[in-house]
Amino acid sequence: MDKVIILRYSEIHLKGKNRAFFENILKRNITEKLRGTECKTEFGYGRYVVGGYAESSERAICKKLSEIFGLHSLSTALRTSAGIDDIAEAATKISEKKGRFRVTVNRADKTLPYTSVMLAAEIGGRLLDAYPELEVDLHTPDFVIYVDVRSSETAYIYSSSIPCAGGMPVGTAGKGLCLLSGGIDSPVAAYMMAKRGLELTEIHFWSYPYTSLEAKEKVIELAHILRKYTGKTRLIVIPFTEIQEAIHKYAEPNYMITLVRRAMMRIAEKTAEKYGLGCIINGEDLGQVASQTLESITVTNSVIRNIPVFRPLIGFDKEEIIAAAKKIGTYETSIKPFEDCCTVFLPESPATKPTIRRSEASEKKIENYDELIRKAVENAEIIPIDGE
Amino acid sequence: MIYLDNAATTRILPCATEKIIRFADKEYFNPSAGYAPAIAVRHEIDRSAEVIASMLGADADEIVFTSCATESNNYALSCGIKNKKGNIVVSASEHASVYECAMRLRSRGTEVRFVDPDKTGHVTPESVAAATDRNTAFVSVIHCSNETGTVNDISGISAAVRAVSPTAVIHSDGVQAFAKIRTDMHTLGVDLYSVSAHKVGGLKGVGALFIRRGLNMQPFIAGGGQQSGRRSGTENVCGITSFSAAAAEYAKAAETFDAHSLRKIFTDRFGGRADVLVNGCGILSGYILSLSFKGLKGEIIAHGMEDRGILIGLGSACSTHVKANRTLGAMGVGKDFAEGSVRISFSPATTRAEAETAAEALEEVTDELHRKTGR
Repeated sequence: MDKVIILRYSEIHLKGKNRAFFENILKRNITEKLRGTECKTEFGYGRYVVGGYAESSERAICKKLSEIFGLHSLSTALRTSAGIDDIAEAATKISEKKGRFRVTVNRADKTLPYTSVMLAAEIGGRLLDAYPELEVDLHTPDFVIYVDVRSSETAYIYSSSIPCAGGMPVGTAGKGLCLLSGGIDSPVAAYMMAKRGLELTEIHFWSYPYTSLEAKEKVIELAHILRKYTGKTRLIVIPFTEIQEAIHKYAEPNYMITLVRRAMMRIAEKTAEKYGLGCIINGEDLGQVASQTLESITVTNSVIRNIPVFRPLIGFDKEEIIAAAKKIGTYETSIKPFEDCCTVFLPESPATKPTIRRSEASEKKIENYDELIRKAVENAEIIPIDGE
Repeated sequence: MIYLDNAATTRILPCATEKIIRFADKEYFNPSAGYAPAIAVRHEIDRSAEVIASMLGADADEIVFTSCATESNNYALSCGIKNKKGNIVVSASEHASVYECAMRLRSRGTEVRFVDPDKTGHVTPESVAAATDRNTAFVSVIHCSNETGTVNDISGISAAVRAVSPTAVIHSDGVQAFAKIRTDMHTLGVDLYSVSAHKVGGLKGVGALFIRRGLNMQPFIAGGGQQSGRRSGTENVCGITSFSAAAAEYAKAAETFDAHSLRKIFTDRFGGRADVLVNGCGILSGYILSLSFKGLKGEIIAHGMEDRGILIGLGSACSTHVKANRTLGAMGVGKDFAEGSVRISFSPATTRAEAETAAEALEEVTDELHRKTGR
């Protein structure tokens, strides 16, 4: 008898002929996540199991596994042979000592000398013998003992399940570039798109000396927190100072933010092309601030030519975003009070209804605009986000 | 590199490092143990208390070593208030470790009265007396402002408070004054006085609180009864012994160090400009200079200086991330100036040449920023 963790995957079981593609990436992500942890992964048909670990590390392993997109839930279980005595012993070990219970049996191997109902009754009887304060209740039990008999050699006995991150395995939906400002929203946007299977690269615009080293450190920290879900990734830090200074010098003051965001989107698209990334992700939600009105989004989006821009938070309330940020663990870092590039040269009253025509007219006044954009992309700093 | 953020922390003096290594490597015994080598360590702690006490014009049994001045201030405000129904009077220009304690007391129902500094940055005996009445149980006024370097008339404040409320306990945060200016407890007339090691060439994580003999203070940290039961926890031997060594040497160097002349290098350059405020005037320690540049941001100025190899501060390093500068706000410095505040602070190791280079660089950096951010 040994302790194991049973993994169940989420949407993948809906897939047809290409199911192997999704399964292989999920297996790779599980292996990658558990690298450096002493344990053994077994990928059977429709049943993934982790075993061979020290009991003291079970909790940490479960925590790691629960962060993998593509897994629906997991259970810590006892693995025995399919012999009734072994199964009963395991069930006795994991059972509560009093309360109402039922035994649910799933029997994959139909050649075994008992039916599911017979086995459930037998195990239930033995549990009642062991713990007289137990009571059988098939309809509203306090707890359920699950017995999953795979073959004559293998049965799993467990009682509860821990929900996992759900979604699709990272890497099954292609690659994307996520804008990471350091605020509350963008890490949540990154999380949501990674959950749909996108492999992410993150991009941050850094305006030293107008923003600090600490602001950059904060974004690196956020990327490391997100790494739990995204797997290893990289952070592209764009030197943005010259562009901001140029925009500030030539643009109408109330168009400052509009033009800064247009420049960011241009740089993002060029960076995505350079690294073969198929989409841009940002944390905009409609109407939250001046730069996120329908008109502002229209004007900033209009500079993108070839790839889609995903805004997974577009319909969220701020409270919902904050709740999500707290759940994924980025909130406390996001609220550290270091200025990001969006607050530099902030005008008194930014345009809430900018137009493409006026934005383009302003941009024409900026000397060497295209060259500045090209240089920013070229001089980016690439920070690998791997290791714990 | 030119380091001009000595009000945040100082470089550890070699005599302090020597003590740290000695008591980490050779004499590492627990000072509460009964064998001879441990007793020798205990005696070293006693000697350190004597050194700190003599610098404060006090006796060794009036010194309690703590883990930092923040602990000393928390100890003072937690255990120094005898009349629980009385009010407390605190200056508005206190360090966060006093200010936040006062705010916590207020949230628990204590009446807390804040006294604003005047335009020169001083908290005057008159203004403190005006806020004090017979029910005042506790008064805390910083000796030397960590933001502006202005030195408050603590002896005048003590006298003014005692005239109105003889039983009030008087505390002063002396972190930026200790070993730099005269800090005689009898002259100052205080009951409690906080000091820190790492501002005077000692180790971070060590402080002390002067507790006037006769003042009955409950322990802030209870436990094994170390330091006569007033502050339990095994003594930080490396920290304490290096603190006294550093403080004595720092004070000796301070006697011949003319901080005011270094400060003047900056005030001569910036003093006459309409877009620059020199915060604080009158009686000053000279070790700290606060400048506010209109229309700029302190953080950006500091980055520009760092790029030139000069490290300066933004005001109290403990509260850099608090949005507005409380002390400057209380002095009446407007937001357009306050946001562009930087703090330059010296130590006896600072040379004239360093100050001149830094002043010139500061002018270049701020001029350049005006050029780039102005329209």
